[in-house]
Amino acid sequence: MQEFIKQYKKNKSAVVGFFIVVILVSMAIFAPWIAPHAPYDQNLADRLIPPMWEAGGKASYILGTDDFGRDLFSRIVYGARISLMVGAVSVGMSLTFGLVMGLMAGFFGGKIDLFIMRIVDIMLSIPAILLAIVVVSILGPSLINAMIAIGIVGIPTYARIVRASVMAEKEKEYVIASRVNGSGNLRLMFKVILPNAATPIIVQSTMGFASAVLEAAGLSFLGLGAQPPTPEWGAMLSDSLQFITTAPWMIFYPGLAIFFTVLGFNLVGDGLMDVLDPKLKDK
Amino acid sequence: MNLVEVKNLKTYFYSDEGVNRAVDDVSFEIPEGKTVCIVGESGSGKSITSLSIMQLIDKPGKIVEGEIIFDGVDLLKQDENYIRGIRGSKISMIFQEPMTSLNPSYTVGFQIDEVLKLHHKELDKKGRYERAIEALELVGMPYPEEKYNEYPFKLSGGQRQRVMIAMAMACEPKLLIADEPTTALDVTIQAQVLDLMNKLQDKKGTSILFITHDLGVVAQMADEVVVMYRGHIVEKASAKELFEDPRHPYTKALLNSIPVPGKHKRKSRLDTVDENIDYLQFPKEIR
Amino acid sequence: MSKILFDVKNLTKHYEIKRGLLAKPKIIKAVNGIDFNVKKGEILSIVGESGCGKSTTAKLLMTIEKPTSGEIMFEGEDITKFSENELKKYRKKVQIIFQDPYSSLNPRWKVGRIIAEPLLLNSDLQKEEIKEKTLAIMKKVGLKEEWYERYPHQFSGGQRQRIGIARALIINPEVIICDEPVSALDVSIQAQVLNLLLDLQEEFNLTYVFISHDLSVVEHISDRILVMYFGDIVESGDVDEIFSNPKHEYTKTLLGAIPKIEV
Repeated sequence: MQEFIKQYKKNKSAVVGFFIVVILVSMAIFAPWIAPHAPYDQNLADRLIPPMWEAGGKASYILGTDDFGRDLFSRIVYGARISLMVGAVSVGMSLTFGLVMGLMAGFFGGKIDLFIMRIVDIMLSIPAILLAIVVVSILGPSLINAMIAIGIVGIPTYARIVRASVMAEKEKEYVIASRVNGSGNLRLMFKVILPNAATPIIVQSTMGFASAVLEAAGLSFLGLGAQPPTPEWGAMLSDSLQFITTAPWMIFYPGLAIFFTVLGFNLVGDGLMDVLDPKLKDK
Repeated sequence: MNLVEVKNLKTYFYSDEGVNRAVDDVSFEIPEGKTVCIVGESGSGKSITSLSIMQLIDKPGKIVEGEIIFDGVDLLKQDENYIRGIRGSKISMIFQEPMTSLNPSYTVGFQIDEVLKLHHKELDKKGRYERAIEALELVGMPYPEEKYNEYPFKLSGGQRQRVMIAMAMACEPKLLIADEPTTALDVTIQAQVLDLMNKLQDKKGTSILFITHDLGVVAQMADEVVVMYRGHIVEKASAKELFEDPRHPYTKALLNSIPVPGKHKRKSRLDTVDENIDYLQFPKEIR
Repeated sequence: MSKILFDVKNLTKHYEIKRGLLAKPKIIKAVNGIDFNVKKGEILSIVGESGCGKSTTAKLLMTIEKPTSGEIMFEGEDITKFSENELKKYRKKVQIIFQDPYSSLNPRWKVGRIIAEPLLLNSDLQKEEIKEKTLAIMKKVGLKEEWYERYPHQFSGGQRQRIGIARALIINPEVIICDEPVSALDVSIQAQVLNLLLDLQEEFNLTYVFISHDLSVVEHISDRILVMYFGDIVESGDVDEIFSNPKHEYTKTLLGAIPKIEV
């Protein structure tokens, strides 16, 4: 573990990414203490107030308010909770299904592999956003359904990664050794091979988190994800389009929040990739 | 006459964990037309020594000190252009894994041709083709014209190694460095390749620096032997002297740990090189 | 004199390489109807060069591969027809040591777990007992007790091979199939591991089927030798006979090709 931390620290941008993620998670956990206002509180007397350092700004609204008089900063802070949830649920879903599919395809090969990979190919041939839109249209627009849609869309990537890793490890002698000692298929897949196939999955999950947040923002922006008054960053962008010239802070800060979140997770993913991969090549 | 004189060579590798003195003050000579074998186990520094002579040491490694005098010129004092000029033409190298040392995407002929293009600019296409076929014939490749157009994956391990030797010999180098060239080959193929190398040496007067861990191969190939252990030379002698009268405890332990038909009683326990002894404590045996 | 443990008759293994939808698949005859037996307490070596079928034979004996035809009788029963239960009993008697110390141990498991696996899967012993046995066997093969919690990548090639040997030994087998166990090791480490294998054979009265391409090693430890060439056994016999009086052309070529340490 110590070795891991030492290696990780070598990559400066990965460390930056790590701190961004820590800030994000802290924002989500400590939202009620950090945010000066409740995210749904409207104060129509204080609509469209600019950030506090600009003319007309008020100290109680650090980043200003939106068209309903809601504090932007508080909404962004609470939005972190939503984004984290989106990332966790979608990635969790993609990972679970992708893992099982990839494990079975890689391990059993033959017809099972062909069958599973054709399903994956079909899923991949439909553009992600389109697929997400279709799923949401069927299920109805809501944040939960957006998460499910994003989860489904992410499955092929994990399935492929897992399958490739499993195929690479399957023929190695330590797997044969376990098999010869009487290990059943299930055990071989999950206890023997999977721990050795984990690295690319971990890396992909971190980066998948970032794309999930981005995709959720996209869907919400289109009106298909989080519905008002939920303080989801993408939804906030969409709601604020009409105010782009009059109250640009309403678009800028949620956008910045999305940007940093995606950046943070991607940097962490990059850093993990650098640290975890060479260790596997020990000889 | 010495073709190569290595003097006090030091090649170190730097990392967070410290300095790895892979080659630590090594000196030896390679006479013209003779074969010198460097023997050692993993970590002895034998491969790094040969790579240092070819100046193929990259970061985090560095040649820290020493002289490598080739044909009267100290290679370590020359610029990159000079070194590139002699690599492949005056000094060539062949490696252990014939599978990966040949480029799988190009035919055999193309690869030999490339080497010739670099170092024999006076030859035209036809001239190079003839030289390439000559080189393939020289290494005993059956049907050289056909093989010229083949891709490496169609050849066996032994044939690929012959191609490597052909490429290495195409420019008639003065020194051939062979780093464990037969370790990955079957023993019958190994015998053929070693035989070939000896014949080439007789024919062309090439000096050979042969890196190996196999003392049997040393017995077959070497005129002079250099025994390396943890970056140092612990014994240096002619092949005859080494096998008849090994002096350094490490050399003796190494020789005794190899089962030789007839030498040891069957199923007796072999002597081993003791991991806990630092064999460097014993005085070096340089003859 | 000695009990016959393995009696192999007409063992054949063919591999089919599919070449597209329409072309006839190519057949590789890895093992071509060989007969041999293995006596209790002996070291039988199978030698040959790449492609001769010795590794495939080892895999067939270990039930890693299924034969195309032929029978492998172990103590009177044909292992190719064993049920899962019978295979379980077989595994307790016949174990294997692999060639590559770097890929034969699960990189993500601790050493103690790797060694204990045969017991974990095939016995009803309690955790405590298993740990005891693991530590005991580690000591026997020259591994320090405190290495129980370490990972394979922290060990050298020779030590990893010892871990593999401990794993094969922990279940008290009668036979160990050694698939080129020293080929990937440095010469001096090779000697240590060979010494260990010989010590263990004496102490536990083991029978070895020793696969190798290295004739010097084979000459040193074997009682009998099988010489394989392209899937056939071309010569077999006592080690002295084969080395002093080889009959088959290939055996002679093989013996002649060994680089000898005489000047």
